[in-house]
Amino acid sequence: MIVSLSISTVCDQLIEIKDQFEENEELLEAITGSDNAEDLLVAIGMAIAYTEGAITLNKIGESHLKTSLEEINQIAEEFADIEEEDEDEDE
Amino acid sequence: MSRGLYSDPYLKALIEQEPKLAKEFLEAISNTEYVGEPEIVSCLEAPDWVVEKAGVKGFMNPNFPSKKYEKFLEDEDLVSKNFWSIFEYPNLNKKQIRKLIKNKDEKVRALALAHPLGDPVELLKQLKEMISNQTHASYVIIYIAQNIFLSDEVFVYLFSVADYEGSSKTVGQALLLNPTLSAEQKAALVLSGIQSKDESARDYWGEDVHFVSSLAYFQSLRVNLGHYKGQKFQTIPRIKESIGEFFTEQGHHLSVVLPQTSKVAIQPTVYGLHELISLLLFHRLFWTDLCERDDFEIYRRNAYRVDDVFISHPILGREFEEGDVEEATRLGGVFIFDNQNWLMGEEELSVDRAAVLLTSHGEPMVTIVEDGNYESIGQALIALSYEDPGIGKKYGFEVTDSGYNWMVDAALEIAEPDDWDVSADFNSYFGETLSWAKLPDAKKETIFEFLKLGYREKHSKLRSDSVHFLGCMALHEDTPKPLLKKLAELGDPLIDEVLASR
Repeated sequence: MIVSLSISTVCDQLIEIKDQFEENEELLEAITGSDNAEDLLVAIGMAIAYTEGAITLNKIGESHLKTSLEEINQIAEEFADIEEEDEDEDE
Repeated sequence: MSRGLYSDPYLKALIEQEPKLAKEFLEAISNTEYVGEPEIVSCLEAPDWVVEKAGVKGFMNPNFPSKKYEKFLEDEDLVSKNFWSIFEYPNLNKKQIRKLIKNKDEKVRALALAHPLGDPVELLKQLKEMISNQTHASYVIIYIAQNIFLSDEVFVYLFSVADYEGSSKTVGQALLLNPTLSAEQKAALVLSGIQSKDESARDYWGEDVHFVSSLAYFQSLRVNLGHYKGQKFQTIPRIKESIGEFFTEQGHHLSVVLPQTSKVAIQPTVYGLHELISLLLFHRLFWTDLCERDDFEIYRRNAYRVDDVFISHPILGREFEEGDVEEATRLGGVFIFDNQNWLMGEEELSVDRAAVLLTSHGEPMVTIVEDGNYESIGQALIALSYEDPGIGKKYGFEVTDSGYNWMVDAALEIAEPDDWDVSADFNSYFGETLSWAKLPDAKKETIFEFLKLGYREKHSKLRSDSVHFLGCMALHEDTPKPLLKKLAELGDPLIDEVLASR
């Protein structure tokens, strides 16, 4: 459950997702193409900024990071499923 | 301002009156890379052993040892590699030209044939061949069209290929600039309607003019010579003070800014004025004092490919303030900031500017990321929240003090020179000694005479520089009354306005 994760772990996971953008353009497109892309990207930006000590978070901020991570993970899972299906079709 | 070969009367006097001191002075220069600088190799008083040390750069000097030059000509490859320098040698003789005409390199052959001792008939054939073969050395053809005395046959041929494009201009445009053309040849060009190429910008910024003897002052006055020249100059060992004192006694033009008086009167010359201004000695002399006023201060301004230094003042600074920023370097007194040692420059990227750069004027995060800027998502978010404080409230975060520094650091990577806030002031550690107030009245008169020479020049940077410094003179409280009267007699509107404001 993401709700029980510490905020620094949430940030680490969001940063890991950002680190995949360069190599995995499809994932990036999936996130930017989602309905609340702006909120999700803001969350990634907040995670990086928080880790760098550039911002402080209040309860709303912490909650936004956690829900965004949940959503992004969901997008990533769906994206992984589609990729798997594509690979099966190719075989 | 290009001067070609010149005579340095102060160096001449040193060689004649103090030969040992002169040898010491010239040896100190010739043992360094500085020996190849234009003011050394183009000085007619520079002895053969000095210009020889400059290598091919020394060829332009008639004192270059003829045997060394002759030996150089034996190597065709070396000649080909240094063809421009080869033809600068003023003592080239018929035999040498004949040898060069046979060189395997078409550029060397063309220039040898175009030499006054060459062969205009063969030159015509050579030019035709080069143009029909679409030579890579079109710049040699342009040089010939622009500089060489042309026989009628050669002129007619070049005129017939007037549209032929060189790297910088067409043959026709080059012919228009040729000062040796006859009246008939000029008339033919004018009637053909060939448009001249605008080279006014080039005329503005010709090579700096210096004298060998001036080097004795460069160290004591701590002048800035620009990066490359300055680096070479620093390798010259300390020049004896007595050498500078000798030149001052002889009335050297650079000594006009020093409080000491000389035995011989200082003769104002345009080249002397050019050197005084290009070394920024008048800037230092006037501005240091005038900046003590409340209405006069150093003003550094940047824009796209521009980083100018001037002053702000209600009258003297008005044209700079109101004029085209990108053209302002042409105005009198304005120069390019180059970390001059007497100035202290500061550059800062403001938080405002950094925010604009990172968000491309407030674009949303999606657009920023889609543009591929995901490496600085964190900083872009801070930039967005800086531009729209509602973002931090909405998403539940607050930017720390170090957060803004972090954002600015990211923006430094993409900032262009004109994004910076720049400023400059006098360097308090420099210990400026130049001051208009400290000069004796006689020297103030001489400086006025120098500037009057520049004032008489038409439409040049030297003229506008002179007007600016005459204006500074009119503004300065320590300008003697007789000089104020002379300034008024010039009848210049800007100077008159300054005088009226006193």
